[in-house]
Formats: sequence, C-alpha cells, structure tokens
Amino acid sequence: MEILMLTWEYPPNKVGGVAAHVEDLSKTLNRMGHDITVITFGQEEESEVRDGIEVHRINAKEGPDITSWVLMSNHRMQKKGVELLKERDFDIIHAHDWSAVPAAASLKEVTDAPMITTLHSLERSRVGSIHSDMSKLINDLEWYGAYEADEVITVGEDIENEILHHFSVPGEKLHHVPNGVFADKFKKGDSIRDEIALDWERPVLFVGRLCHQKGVRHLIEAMPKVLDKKPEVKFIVAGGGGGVEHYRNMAESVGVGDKAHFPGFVPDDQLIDLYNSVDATVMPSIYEPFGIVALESMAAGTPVVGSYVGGIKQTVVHEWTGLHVEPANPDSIAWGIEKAISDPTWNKWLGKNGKKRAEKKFTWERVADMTLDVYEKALG
Amino acid sequence: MNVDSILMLTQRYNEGEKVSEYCQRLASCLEEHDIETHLICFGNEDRDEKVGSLNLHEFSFKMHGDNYFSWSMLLQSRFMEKIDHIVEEEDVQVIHANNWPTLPASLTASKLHEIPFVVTYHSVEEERGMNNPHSHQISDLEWEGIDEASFIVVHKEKTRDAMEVYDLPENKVKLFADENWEKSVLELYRRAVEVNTNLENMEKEAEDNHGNFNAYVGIPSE
Repeated sequence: MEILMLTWEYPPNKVGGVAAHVEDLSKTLNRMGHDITVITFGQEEESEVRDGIEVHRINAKEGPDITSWVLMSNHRMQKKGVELLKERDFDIIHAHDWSAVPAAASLKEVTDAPMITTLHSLERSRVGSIHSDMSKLINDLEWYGAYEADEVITVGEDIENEILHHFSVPGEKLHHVPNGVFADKFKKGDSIRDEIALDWERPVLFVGRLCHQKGVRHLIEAMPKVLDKKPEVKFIVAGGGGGVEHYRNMAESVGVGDKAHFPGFVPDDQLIDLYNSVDATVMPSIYEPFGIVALESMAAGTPVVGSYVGGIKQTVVHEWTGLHVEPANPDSIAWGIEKAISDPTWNKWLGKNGKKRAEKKFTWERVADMTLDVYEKALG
Repeated sequence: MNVDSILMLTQRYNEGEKVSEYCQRLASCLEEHDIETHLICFGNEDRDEKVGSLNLHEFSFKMHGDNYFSWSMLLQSRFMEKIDHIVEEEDVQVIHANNWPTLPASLTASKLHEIPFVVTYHSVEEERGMNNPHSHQISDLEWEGIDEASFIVVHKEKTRDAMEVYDLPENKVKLFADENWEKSVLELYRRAVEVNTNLENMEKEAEDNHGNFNAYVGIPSE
C-alpha cells in the first residue's frame, strides 16, 4: 500500500507523543512492505528519507496564535500533497490529530483515497472544557476530522466513548487501536541509579509534560505523605513544558525541595536509563488517552503506579503489573507509591509481569496489523 | 489563443460590493466574447445559479474560526472541493483569484489541475498598514500568490507601489488603471493560456526526448 501520513510533529521534532507514534507505526508498516510518505511541519522546507520513510517538512510563517499557524501550515501541507500526487497515487490518507485535518480533508476531496483520522486526544479533555474561541475551533476540527474520515482510530476506549458521545460519530466507524512499544529498546538501558539517588534512596520516576493534565500538582501534594512513611524515596520529575519552574517552586513550598529533582526534558537514550534505574514510575494523570509512559516503563521491567483513567486502565493491570490509584487524590497516589516499593520481591514480580505484558500485548507489529485492518475496511 | 471558460473566486458575492461588482463587470465583458465565467464564493446557502453574466456557485460553511484569518483559511477546503467539481465538468482555462482569502485554494488547484492562475490584488496588506495581528501571515500569502501566479493584476498605482517590498518579478504585475481594463484582463488570460500551453509542449517534448534518449545520443536500439 502507498500510505500518506499527515502529522504536525515527526522526529526529530517532538513535543507530545504523536511524533513517536507516527514514526514507530510508519517504520513497522514499512518493514511489512508498505510505502510510507510523511508530510509534517518543520523549521524549513526539506525532504529526506529517514529509516526508509520519505519525510517532507513544510514551513509556514508563525502567527500570533497556534491556530493561524496550524492552518497556514495545512495550506502548505496540502500544496506538498498535491505536488506528490503528480508523481504517484496514494491508497490511504492518514491524518493524526486536529492539526492535520484540513489538509487531509482537502486531499481526500481530490483523490479517490479514503481518509483515516487518528485522534490521539481531545481538546475538551486536554483543557477541561471548551471555554475559548480557540478551543472551540480545535474542538470543531476534531469533529470535522471524525466527520470527514472514512474510518476513525482512537488510542483508548475512553476517548472512543468521548468521540461517540460528543461528536455523534457512528460506532461502526470507530476503531480502538492502542499504542505500541519496541520493548527491546527499553530493556537495554544502563542503571544510572548512583547518579540520580544516594545509595540508600529509592528513586521513583515521573515522565511527561509538566502540565495540569498530567496531574503533577497531585503528585507533589502526595510527596510529603510518601516521605513521612518512606523517607528513602527520591522523586525524579522529568519533562519539559512551561510548568517546570512552577512545579519546582510548589515542591519547595510543600517542603520536599531536596527530595524532588527536576531535570527538565530528558532525551530518549537517557530516559531508557532512567526507566531501568528506578523502583517505580508514577503516572498521576487526570486525563490520559493512552499514556505511552506506562508501556515504556513496563518494557523496562519497572512497575507503574497510574491513575485509573483512559489508556492506563488498559495498560496497567492492578496488582499484576503495577497499581491503579484514584486520579487527583494525593492520598491514593501516596498509597500506591508506598505499596509498589514496600516489598522488593513483589516490586520485582510486578516489573517482570509488566515486561511480559508489554512484549506480548503491545508490540508495534500488532498495532500495525490492527491499523492495516482499518485501512482494508476503508478501502472496501 | 482561444479562451472559453474562466473560473473566478471571491470570498463573498454581494451586489454593490466592490470586488463583486468587479467580477460582474469582467464577466459581462467576457460574455460579449463568448467566454463563460464561473464564480465560487462563500454564502449563506448552497446555490448554483446565473446572476447577471456570472454562473454563481455559492457554498455555505458552518464552522467558525477563532478570528477572521483562521476562518478564511478554513474556507479553503470548501473552495478546493468546489473548484474540483467545476473543473470536472467544465473546460476551465484560467483560475482567477481575488485577494488573499481565495489564494491558497486557487494556487493549489492550479497546481493540481495544471490550469494557469491569475490573481487580482484590490489592495495588499502592506498598503492596508500591516496593523492586523495576522498581517505577516497575510503578507506571506500575498507573496506566495505573486510567486506562483502567471500574472498579477492591480488597478491602482498605490497597490503596485506597496508591492515593491516583495521584490516583484519583472513583467508579472500588470497595472490596468484605464477604463477598458476588462479587455486588458482578457488579453492577459489569453497570454496566460498561451504560456501554459507552450510550457506543456516543452515538457512533452522533453519527455519524448527522454524516452528516445538512446536515439537522441546516437546509440542504436537493440
């Protein structure tokens, strides 16, 4: 199949999880014998072949707001798509998230190729409600992406229900395809435990954008409760975003400044080492359509303490690969962390089960097969 | 060069409004030369009907942008869809955009269908003062139009002067300030079609030569 992927981010440009998802899916489909072309945003107009994938980066002038920039970029994406259509036909046009919907919908109009939209998350849940004109436009584009698409893919069951409920998309058009993980990549990390904690300390990791949606505030509120009972715990709060300073100050204000380290954004290779060096990974998210961090941690053999929301409900099996806790509840988060690290033998057993689950249930080959089934359905 | 059908685009068509009247006046002149004019625009309802000399194709669109610029960009998918339908049914020889809000779809459709496109700038952002939050993006689009159009039409010296900042390609911008500007635009259409046909012929010739490359460089066929 000749597949055109449209995505606003693609490695090495990474902000959220979409870039990694599109790259890993594309690489796997390519290995299965399909030709993948990606059109994405970039700092300048350029084309390259990256790990067998043809990547075209377009550039648009930034404006005073993200939506005008995204829409300008979509015009350039559409133009690049038309240029490519002069040389070849695409069997599938696959848009990832609202930011690629206008270009995908236009290209669908001028080709016979079906359009697939993957919604990785929804604006109404990311920001809590539709409270501004910008949020309304993003929400409208998410609806438009679901409406125009021949088939819609979601990464979790909760988000699938949200789409069904809010966008009135026919159920038979919706497909739940989870994220995947290259488990081998996460098994191979080196332990850097002595670099991140003292020898008597037990490191616990948070990874993600430091923002409201990820529940960082509730984790920081849980920290003194954990440290009261387990002073040996050391928190590593890894991730970028505008909130680093804010949350560092918050940790200071609850008196855990020396027990919470904020290294900022951590590149992939160091992240793998971190997963392999901690006793637990904590995901206190309020909203998490999938939550790739859980899979990565499990693949490294590290138990996950995660909120009972979205994709974490499916990836983490309570008291088998980690623990579920109540979202936005510091007492529950503290309980989960304490329990996960209290018995070293049980901690290892949870990690072992998680690794097996990641290797069996969440391979990219399985994800690619499920995605191909959706493509086949769209092609009739 | 014979021209039979022109496709114009403007954001809205309202009788009495300046750009709408411009399209109507141009269509009326074209009609005298047996040239059909189609006009695509946004409106309150979907309708296809003859209005004066124009074949009007109005489309509705329910989404709202978070500002005028975003909304104008959102309209482009619908413009593209409409262009596609008309080009399928009519032998359109020139796409004629009016101002930046119809540029993205016009130039993309021009590439897709290999139809030359002409743009009229009734004014440009530089002339309007660059005091809109999205002025730099609008200006960027206007430059893209200048770069990709076969010809750019302006009707005021002020507009042409304001465009000097764009480092204009020679002979591409045409100032028609006289009373008979419609006939000048028609001549421009003919010229655009002629250039496009010549380019197509040159491309074909290059392809043919490439196909016979061996013979071309004196290698006997097997």
